[in-house]
Amino acid sequence: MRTRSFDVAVIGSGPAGMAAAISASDEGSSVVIIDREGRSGGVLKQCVHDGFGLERFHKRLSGPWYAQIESDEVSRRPIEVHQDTFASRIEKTPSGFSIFCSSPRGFERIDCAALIMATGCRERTSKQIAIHGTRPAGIFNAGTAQNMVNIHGILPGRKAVILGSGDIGLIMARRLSLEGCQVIGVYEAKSEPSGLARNIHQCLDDYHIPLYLGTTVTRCIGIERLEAVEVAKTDSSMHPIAGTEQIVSCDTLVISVGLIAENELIKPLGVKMDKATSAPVTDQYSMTSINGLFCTGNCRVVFDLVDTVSKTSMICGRRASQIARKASAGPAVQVVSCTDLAFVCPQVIRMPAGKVQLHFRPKKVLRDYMLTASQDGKIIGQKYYSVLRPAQMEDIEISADESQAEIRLEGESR
Amino acid sequence: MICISCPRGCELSVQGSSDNLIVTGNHCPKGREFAISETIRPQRFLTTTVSVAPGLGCQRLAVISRDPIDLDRLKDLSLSLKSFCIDHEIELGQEVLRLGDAVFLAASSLKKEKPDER
Ligand SMILES: Cc1cc2nc3c(=O)[nH]c(=O)nc-3n(C[C@H](O)[C@H](O)[C@H](O)COP(=O)(O)OP(=O)(O)OC[C@H]3O[C@@H](n4cnc5c(N)ncnc54)[C@H](O)[C@@H]3O)c2cc1C
Repeated sequence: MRTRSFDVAVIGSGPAGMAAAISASDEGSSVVIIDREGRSGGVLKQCVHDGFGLERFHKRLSGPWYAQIESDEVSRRPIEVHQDTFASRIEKTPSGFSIFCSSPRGFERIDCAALIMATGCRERTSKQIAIHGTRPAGIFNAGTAQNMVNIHGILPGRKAVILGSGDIGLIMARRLSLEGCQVIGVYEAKSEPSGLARNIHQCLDDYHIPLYLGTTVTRCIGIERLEAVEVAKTDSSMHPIAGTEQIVSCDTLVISVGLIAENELIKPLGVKMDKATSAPVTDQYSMTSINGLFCTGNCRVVFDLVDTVSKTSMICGRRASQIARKASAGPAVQVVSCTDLAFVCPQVIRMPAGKVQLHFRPKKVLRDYMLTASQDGKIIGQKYYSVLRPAQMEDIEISADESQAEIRLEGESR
Repeated sequence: MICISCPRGCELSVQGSSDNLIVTGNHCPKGREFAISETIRPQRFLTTTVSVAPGLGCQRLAVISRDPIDLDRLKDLSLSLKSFCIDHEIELGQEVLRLGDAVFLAASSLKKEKPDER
């Protein structure tokens, strides 16, 4: 088998993988990026709408534009990019990791001292939510519909119903309208929209698309092609209420019910997982519980903004390069979250740390909220939020240097 | 109204007559600008894709309008762009087409595929 060896290998050439590869290369490591697709950019290639890069470039870039800037940066460096190359298995070796890939050149092995996983996330499918009825053509995940329209130029249908009010669903509602497809409405089982308020405004209100809260799709109707869906009101625990069913005629159902971090490749290595993020436990450099194995971008935690993905991945790449050259990781202390928060990332901090950003989402809407981080009773970070929403990831900066005690987060609504 | 200028999404309110609008709820000057233009003449950047001839590495090229466009023109413009096809190499940010006064820029670059690359 053809075998190559690098200091740092990156799997995934989305924004996370590219940023990590750039900073690892700038730190002096030999770097390879492996991606199963023929073009760099990951999911940004299909996110043709604008609003990316506001924090990093102070401009409203579209997804492909942001990706092109980053992939031009990659090409200016001595980074090898292996496209159309699928990583199918990873093994731990005494000196690092071996990646087994299938590529247009055949089956190959890539050895590396440090491995950065930047495989992004995938969508939950209709099988993971309970919809009854037949399985005709015309039912798509939002990401699949986005790929069809924006990468291949194919319209999935003429009359669409969207299930789920997450940002990707809202963005697809607008995109389908602009392409001449009639969007009948967005249905959301919860009583609050899951997407950002600004997306409700610019994706639904702009195009007069109605949003039905507390309503879900309960059945698909149609044999060959979808002909209609049955929708019903939901109770407070999101179960359909009998007697409230209605039939909505449509030929397309777009499902946007959430993202799952993609980590199947490294689970067999016994990496420690966090139930709250369904992803590996990582430190402030995105390193997992296995020395030299990093996990960055959306496979670490599903971020809202690509700017944050790039920023955290730069930190990751630099560190991976140091660890590849045998830097020691330092002792880890736990970050203990509080009950108001859905998750906190990073979950551990390597000491000495200095200033570190912790990312989190609240479980529900919290107003007038003060979050405090402390270690050994000493306050090491504090921030006030006038409002916290599950749809919006937030952060708090802490400053941890001396103590080896765990870091505790506590919050209160005032 | 919700400000769409940045991810913060401030809740804005606008009062007064069109020659003297008072904006509240904004955390930065962009919020004020947005509220005023949204009240007088709502505009958005238009992003869509146009088709690409074979041999340039992909089937669609993402484009973005150089300037914001009146909200009520977006749909017609987007549908009119469907008939365009790009058949040459393109640099990021290059002007690719014009429809009346609306100018569109390439949101990624296109390079001829090299047959020996794989
Ligand atoms: C459908 C969808 C739409 C989105 N829309 C938006 C949006 O509108 N705005 C926004 O801010 N964010 C959006 N996001 C979030 C977006 O994913 C992030 O902002 C950012 O793109 C994440 O970057 P990443 O590099 O972590 O992952 P990705 O961009 O997903 O990149 C992962 C890369 O890894 C590669 N890969 C995965 N597994 C393997 C393997 N086994 N072998 C080889 N290669 C592999 C993939 O091909 C891909 O190129 C969206 C996400 C999805 C899934």
